Amino acid sequence: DKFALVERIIKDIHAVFSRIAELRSFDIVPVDTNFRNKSPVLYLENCLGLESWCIKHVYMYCYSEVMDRYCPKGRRKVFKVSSLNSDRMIKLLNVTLLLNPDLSTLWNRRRMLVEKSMLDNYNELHFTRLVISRKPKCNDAFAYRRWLLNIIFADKSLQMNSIRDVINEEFNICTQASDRSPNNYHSWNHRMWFVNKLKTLDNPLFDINNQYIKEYNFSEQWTAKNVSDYSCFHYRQFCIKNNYSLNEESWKKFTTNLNLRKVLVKILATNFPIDSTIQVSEEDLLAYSESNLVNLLLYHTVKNCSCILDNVYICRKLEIIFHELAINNELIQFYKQHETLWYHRRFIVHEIIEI
Amino acid sequence: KNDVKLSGDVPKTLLLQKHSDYLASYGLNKDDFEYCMTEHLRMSGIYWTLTAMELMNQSSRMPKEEIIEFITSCQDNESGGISASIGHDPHILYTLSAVQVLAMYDRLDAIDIEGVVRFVTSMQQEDGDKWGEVDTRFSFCAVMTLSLLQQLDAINVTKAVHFVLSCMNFDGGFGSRPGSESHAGLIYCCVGTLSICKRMEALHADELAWWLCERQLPSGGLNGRPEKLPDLCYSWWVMSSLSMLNRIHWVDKDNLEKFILACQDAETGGFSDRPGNITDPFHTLFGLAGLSLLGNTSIKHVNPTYCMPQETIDRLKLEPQKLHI
Amino acid sequence: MVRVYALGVLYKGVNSATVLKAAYDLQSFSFFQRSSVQEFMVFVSKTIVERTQQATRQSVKEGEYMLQVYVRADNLAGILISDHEYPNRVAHTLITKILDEFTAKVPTNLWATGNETTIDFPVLPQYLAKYQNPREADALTKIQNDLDETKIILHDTIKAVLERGEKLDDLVAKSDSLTMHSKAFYKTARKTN
Ligand SMILES: CC(C)=CCC/C(C)=C/CC/C(C)=C/CC/C(C)=C/COP(=O)(O)OP(=O)(O)O
Repeated sequence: DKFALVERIIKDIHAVFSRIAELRSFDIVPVDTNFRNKSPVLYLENCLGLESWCIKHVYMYCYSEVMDRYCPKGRRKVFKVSSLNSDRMIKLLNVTLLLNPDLSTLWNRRRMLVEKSMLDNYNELHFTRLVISRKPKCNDAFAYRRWLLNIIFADKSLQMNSIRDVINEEFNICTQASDRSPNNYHSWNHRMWFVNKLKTLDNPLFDINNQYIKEYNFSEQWTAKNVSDYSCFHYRQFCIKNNYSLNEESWKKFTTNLNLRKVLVKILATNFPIDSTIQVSEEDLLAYSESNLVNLLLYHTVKNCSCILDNVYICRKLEIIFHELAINNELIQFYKQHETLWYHRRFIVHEIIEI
Repeated sequence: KNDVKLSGDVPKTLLLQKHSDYLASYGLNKDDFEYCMTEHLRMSGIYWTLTAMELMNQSSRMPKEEIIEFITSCQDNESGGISASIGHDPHILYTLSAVQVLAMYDRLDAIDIEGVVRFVTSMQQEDGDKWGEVDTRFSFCAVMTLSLLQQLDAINVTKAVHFVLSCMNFDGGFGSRPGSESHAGLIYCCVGTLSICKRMEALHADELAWWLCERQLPSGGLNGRPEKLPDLCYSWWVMSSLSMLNRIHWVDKDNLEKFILACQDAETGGFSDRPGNITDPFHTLFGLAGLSLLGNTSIKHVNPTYCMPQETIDRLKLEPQKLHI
Repeated sequence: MVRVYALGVLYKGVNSATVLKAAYDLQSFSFFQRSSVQEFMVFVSKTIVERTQQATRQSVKEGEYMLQVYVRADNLAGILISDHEYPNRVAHTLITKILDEFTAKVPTNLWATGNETTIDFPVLPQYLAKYQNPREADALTKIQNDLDETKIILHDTIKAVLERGEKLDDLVAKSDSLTMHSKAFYKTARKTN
């Protein structure tokens, strides 16, 4: 009896959903036939699985019911959800969206339920985590997260602890999705959106500069291991540009373990044109101030240019960009024939020319 | 390099009859699981299928009246927008598809045009869709929809152009939002927007065209971003953009044609993303439209901005911009 | 993505190959796929070792994976399964090093009869973790510069390694070592590819 079977599956999934906060992933497990004659709903080590043989029945059943009962044409506004029928609706939405997360209309139904406080923001974040674990390129799920996060961050009473949790979770999810699916346009785009969102976060306890440094370091490691993933190099470029504007204190912290000046000076000292009248040793250059370094570099350019230069800023920019050039050299030597590395190099050259 | 190798037994000639049969019978079994799984993009499915049929001069095989009735029933009276299918929420993507289909049928009277205009303009006021999502795809859909309805002035065109230009990257390409990675599909959307709004001079044409033609791989196929596999649909996104930029000769046309033909399925009909994969109407349209751009004479002329038959665009007296070199 | 999924030492017997020790990193696979993926990696490792001549190195591409094998003249074999990005040279240098160490630690007379439970060679998981980043291993390749890269035979598909008329699909279907579950998994993986 198909009807009873699907109802039972819905119930079993719902039971697992009571631990949504702990659930890590969802997947469809390839099993051709129901040879074990047991429930196809698997729950192991915080992972939810559904055997593939039942997918068709479950999907067709849940999708038609959800559409027929909760998405009647032209009566969306008039249609009232009460706590009575919202339970059933949520169960069906859960199952249908797990199986087909590209149904924008059903994500909109969830938004409506959130607005009516029939669904909880944080539970919804957990739910999308599950969806993204199986479909790491699901843009609707990322878009829904953005909507939820806007609501969550608009709440001024949010404690710093909770903010930290939300932040960690968001970066974790992006990392996981980027890992599961190389060149994941959506996860990297979402990550950028999130960093930009954090820029607007107005909380004295939160320092965006720290976040810039963290993401910069993260992207350095990630790109080194994912040399054909241009999406992460693109993100790296975003991080580099953010780092140009670090404040004084963060810049110090950032450069303590990373001697950027040395890299820059080394490249300068070894690259003076042979016929140049100036030849300065590495040690001497290290003692130069930012202004002197930049003046030295701009020695050959138009002298009476009227532009106002912030030498400290330019010098930092150079330090970051030349560090990047050094990393890029190394990667290009190690991994042969990777288009992405050369595309990234274009960015580096572009940034140098910009100065 | 991430690419495919074309084996010796791939199709080398255009199998028009097969494709027409394939599209005519697609979705006849409405209880099919696949069909049910794709209901949320049905309106675009109709657009892909009808346009492909039009390009093959076979659109009489489509159930015209049924389609028009379906579109009418997908319009939401309240917002004016059109949904992918009955019961789904109206969306700009499907509103565009519906308007494109009706434009080809010359039956724009079948919907409430003022409603559609209202829907599209409301998106610009809210800076994105109702839920706050912003995307260059949406800008393109909005601009194309209004221009097909001869109502481009209903939105602030300068503002739309400005947004698109704010998504330009240093490589000349465009992404979905300001600062997003360049992507051939979104480049098509952005170049298309500028073409409709006649602001193509704002492009960095040479850089952009260079990036686009670098998408061609040794197999002849095109990818949408560096180091990705070739996919037939980029024969459209890349080639239409190059065509608007008037630099279509920057790619190896013969090699691309071979790749496109290799994506046909000689048994089932239709085109797939890569040789040997399962076919679908989406790739079938872009295979045919790609061949049309390459100058294949057994297919009708396609307009690179609208991805519709040139004769429809001419009938509507639309003149999207193309760059002169 | 640079990633090593498996590292194994095998013995190529007269009729079949046996795994003497292996380590896996399957975190990137969904939880429910891991056991099937692992079974499959064992299956493919054995299949390839059985079809590789003595004193031969091969790099075989199969789908998204790269299978690196070295069968020594004394029938001890090493295998490394990675993605395409992992440099072949680094992989083979690592295999050589591991086989050398194995030879030093495990008496030769145990090889032909040994299996994963009887053989004591616990270092593979550490190596697997350490050499996830091939640049880590670069120092190693610099020391062991004697590896001649041109001696590695490259194959674009596993078909090239199989005997005439053999098909991977048939081998999978016939195999006793794969569970029903893994066979189903293999079938769907093929379809979605
Ligand atoms: C009138 C026509 C033909 C179209 C209407 C306008 C639209 C909707 C154009 C869509 C263009 C397009 C292909 C956009 C791609 C969006 C995107 C961010 C894709 C990334 O997703 P992946 O699944 O990673 O795709 P790839 O792997 O191919 O990059």
